[in-house]
Amino acid sequence: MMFNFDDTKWTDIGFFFCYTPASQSPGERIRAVVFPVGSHYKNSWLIQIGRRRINHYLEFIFIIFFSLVSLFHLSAQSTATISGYVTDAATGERLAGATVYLPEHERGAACNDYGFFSLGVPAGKVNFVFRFVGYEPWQKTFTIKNDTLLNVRLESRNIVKEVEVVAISKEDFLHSPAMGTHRLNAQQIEQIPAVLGEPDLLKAIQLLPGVSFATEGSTGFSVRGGSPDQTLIRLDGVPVYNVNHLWGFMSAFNNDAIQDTRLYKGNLPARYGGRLSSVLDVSMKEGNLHKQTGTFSLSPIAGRFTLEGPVVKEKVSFMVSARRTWIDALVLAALKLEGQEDEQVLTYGFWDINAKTNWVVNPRNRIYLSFYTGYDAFNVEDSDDRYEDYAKFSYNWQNLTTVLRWNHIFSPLLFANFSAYNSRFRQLYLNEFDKKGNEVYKGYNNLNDMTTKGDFDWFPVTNKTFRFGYEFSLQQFNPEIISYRSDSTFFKLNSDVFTRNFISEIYAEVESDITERTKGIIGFRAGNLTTGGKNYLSLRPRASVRYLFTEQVSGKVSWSRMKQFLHQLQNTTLGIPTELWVSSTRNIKPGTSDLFSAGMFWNNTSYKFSAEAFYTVMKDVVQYKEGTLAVKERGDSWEEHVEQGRGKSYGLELMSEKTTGNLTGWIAYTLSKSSRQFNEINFGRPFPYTYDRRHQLNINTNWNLSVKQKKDKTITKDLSATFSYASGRYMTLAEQEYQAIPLPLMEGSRYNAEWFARRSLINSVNNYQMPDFHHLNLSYRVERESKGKINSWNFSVYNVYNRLNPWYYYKKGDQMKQITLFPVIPSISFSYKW
Amino acid sequence: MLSYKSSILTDVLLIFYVFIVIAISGCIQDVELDLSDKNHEYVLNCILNTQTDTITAILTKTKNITDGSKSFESVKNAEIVLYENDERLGSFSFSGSDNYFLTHKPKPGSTYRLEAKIENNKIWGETIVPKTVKGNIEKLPSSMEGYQVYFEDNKDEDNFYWVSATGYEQMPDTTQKDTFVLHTQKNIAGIILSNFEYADDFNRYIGDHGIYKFEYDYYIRFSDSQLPDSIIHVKFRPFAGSSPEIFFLSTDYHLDKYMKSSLMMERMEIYAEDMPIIYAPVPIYSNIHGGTGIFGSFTSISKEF
Repeated sequence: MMFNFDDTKWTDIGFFFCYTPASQSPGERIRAVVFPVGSHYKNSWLIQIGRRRINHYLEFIFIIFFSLVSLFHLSAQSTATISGYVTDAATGERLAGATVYLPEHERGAACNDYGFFSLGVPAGKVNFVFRFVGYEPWQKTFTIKNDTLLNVRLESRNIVKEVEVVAISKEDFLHSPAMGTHRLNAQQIEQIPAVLGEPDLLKAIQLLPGVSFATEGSTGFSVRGGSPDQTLIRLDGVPVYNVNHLWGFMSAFNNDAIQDTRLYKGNLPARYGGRLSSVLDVSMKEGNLHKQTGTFSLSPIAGRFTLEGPVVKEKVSFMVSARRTWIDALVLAALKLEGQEDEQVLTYGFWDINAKTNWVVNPRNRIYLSFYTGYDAFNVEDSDDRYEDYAKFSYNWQNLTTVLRWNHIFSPLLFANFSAYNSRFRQLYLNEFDKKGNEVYKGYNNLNDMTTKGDFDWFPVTNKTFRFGYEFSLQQFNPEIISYRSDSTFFKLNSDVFTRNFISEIYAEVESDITERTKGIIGFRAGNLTTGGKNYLSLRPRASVRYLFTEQVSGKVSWSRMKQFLHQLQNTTLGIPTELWVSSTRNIKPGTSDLFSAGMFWNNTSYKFSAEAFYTVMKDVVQYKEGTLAVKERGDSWEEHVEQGRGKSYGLELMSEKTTGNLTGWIAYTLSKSSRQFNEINFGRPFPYTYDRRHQLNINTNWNLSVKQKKDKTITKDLSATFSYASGRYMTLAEQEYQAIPLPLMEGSRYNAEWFARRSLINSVNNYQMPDFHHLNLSYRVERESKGKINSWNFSVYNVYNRLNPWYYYKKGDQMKQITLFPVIPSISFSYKW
Repeated sequence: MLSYKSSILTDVLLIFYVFIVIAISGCIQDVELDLSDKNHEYVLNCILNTQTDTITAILTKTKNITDGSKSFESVKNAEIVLYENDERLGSFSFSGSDNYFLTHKPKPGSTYRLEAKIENNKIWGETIVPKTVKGNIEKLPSSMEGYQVYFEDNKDEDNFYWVSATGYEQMPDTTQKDTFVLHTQKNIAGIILSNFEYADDFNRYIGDHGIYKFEYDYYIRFSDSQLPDSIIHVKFRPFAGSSPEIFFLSTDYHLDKYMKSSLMMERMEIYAEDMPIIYAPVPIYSNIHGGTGIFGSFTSISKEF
């Protein structure tokens, strides 16, 4: 079937063309829906102003980039532009990374993060192929004469014999100059065996090359030698400052609410800034525009409920997902068993809520409102019914993010996303020594981030994409505000030790073909941090080049300079999220890093193989001084207890991935080294970084055992396995001790005389390497689908062969003790989807 | 009196630890670690004091941290030699108390090198004795204020200053097992109060002690790198018992580092067994090449009240 667009100029009329592969009858496979945009939109002030701005300002702003473009060879101008969205036919959700390809002309384009594409095409008959991994490709020939808006719906092929997992597309993996990028969706995360059956995004990330974990079971991770705070973790474009529940053993991300996740660790696109090592970009589900669906999940540790559907069909949708733990009930039961429930009440709980609404205003405008909050609360109450002996301690922390986004298509060549968000993080410590509340000690840390930004994708000529934007942030940090109140005393400390920042940044980058086989991205991010009357101005270039050796093999190199204006202070080497976020100040400079990467990439139909080498140098990274925990004092400013120094890491990552067939998964190996050096720590000598692990091997597989059809039921059985091996973690451990000489004036003194007679011999920070870490996890999943309703049981065993991996060592008397957190743990979880 | 000797973080981590202990009470086990059994190091300790005529050096060997024995292996057959400004002063003699002695009074401003030869090994350290401190110590009119040290900083060298006091206290005699007997013991001040703004905060707590806001463990430390003037006054109040003797020490670079890291470690050590997860050991400074230990020096002024 041919479609003629001879008389339809996008700018004059504005067509909205939908393709629905779910055909009603053989003759109606394609359903075209035409929405005349008409004079109302054509003459609207918004469109007109938009056009004027585009015409007048963009040329000025990007004059430098025009110059750069002239360095590239300019391909022939197209006569028309095809643009639009690619969406999931079942849900209406947009498919970021889907591709459109013109086989006869050997040109194509990938959808941006919002599923939008724009492609210049020659006039005449043009054959289009739309693809997205995990979806049926759609191929069609059109006769094109003018600019055309084309919205395409692709149908998922989840319920088919051939399994294909979502991953980085071939376009991104092989052809794009971007490197060090990984992609995971909720389904893949769900298939990975997890502790107590609770799927966890941040633990799934740790199976990727270049990502090392802090301690077993924790969500803390390091990317290419960076510290956890050096990864920008965003949920729907908003930084989430605390990504943990349960003291870091569970992530704050409810898997049922997640649509897609991307990890950038090599060449970081210019639109991302503010962190030194990587970006983890998580997208929430948008909400099904066509019909109401839901998920109800149970695991031994938490329950989840998700509901999504249209408010106005095809126009407005919603998604809401809530999760709550029942660990508080388990702890109470444990205390009861111990017979302690009368003396001490100990409760711990967490919950989180994700919500999103999505309004398709018209073919060119879409508005999203997203909301996330997560809350952890820990309480210990000791009482014997007499006021004098009463004590209550509460510790809770909460994240709250809200973002309003507006997607607007100014023209077939220009797509924009405007966002305004607020991200807050608050920790509260409360000590009450009196039931009447007469004696209260209170401490809290606050972070408040308000940002507005705009991101633009501009496609002026074929095979050239400009991305540019701005970002303005107002941040306030109130670390360690302390107050004490009793009948006779009141004081407040640190209330004046707050930092207010204003960050203003712009970025721009161009992606373009340089030669027939060479493609490059060059860009920058520039801006200024104003804090405490001081300005930190910075320019951060980004560059990457890809050379296509064959249609299956490419090589890439990249360089990114990054800046980080805020820091997370960690006081132990265990990766426990103490989460004290502080800002750069007059005295504490922003951190800077240079990320260099080079790699080879090979891709055929079923397999991908990549080898990437990286070298990262960091300066002005922040760490607590030695012994801070012992010497840090209520009332002290954190600035007095930190050191700034340098970091270095380098390594090689190998990854082999199988994306189709009954057996899918990946094998990832990382060889790396990471170190830190501070003038006042370890006597100025470099030492291994806590997350440094020389070797890491992760194998993650999913085997589709069978798909059987029984009457109206489809029964799918899967077996998943992950095996992880890693060199032991570094820790500071006194291996020997020696006789000490008394300090001046201390000879014969009573104070701690025995201790002062000996010293622990620690030659260096992180001097001891724990034994190698390894474990195997298995899960078996049975899924029954009938009339659109799916129930699944997941039987998993964590640490199948009960490897007692050390979590920590300590000395008691003359005996060394080992703490192991996760022995063999079987679990069952259930989910029901409709 | 209010005194907060733990941080928020400590509270949080304590709670975390309680949580972990509940969660994993069955997963703590004894282990034998490979703790570098074969590489016991020589330990040489010697501090030069310009007020004494006899120099004491102690030479021992390290032992495994899990070794239950109380004592350290003393090295008796070593030759320990002291050099003053590159000139050999003489050899130490070994005594029955497992120490080595040399009669000599160290000179302020001189460079000393201490070498110990043990079989085919040689370990050594160097120190430059700080110059004599010009200053005085006086008692302030109010007992709440305590004392004052004023001194002139030596501008031609880097100085590290430590203020402390000793005094006499009645202590239970622990050698008497069956009876409770008190005896008088000379102790270093456990706490020193001061508002001195240039004091190092590594051993500081915030308290509410009348005119003084801060309290320090054992010593007040400061270096001359941040002092605004050459004439400095430090007011402080030590808790040192009766007949207090006030000391003002000027240490060399190495002894300063050794003292500071030792005191930091001492504060951290209290967590080692009770809350191991927040125990982050601090390396103890050493300037002994080929082994470990300390060879440092100090000059001092003192006054008994």
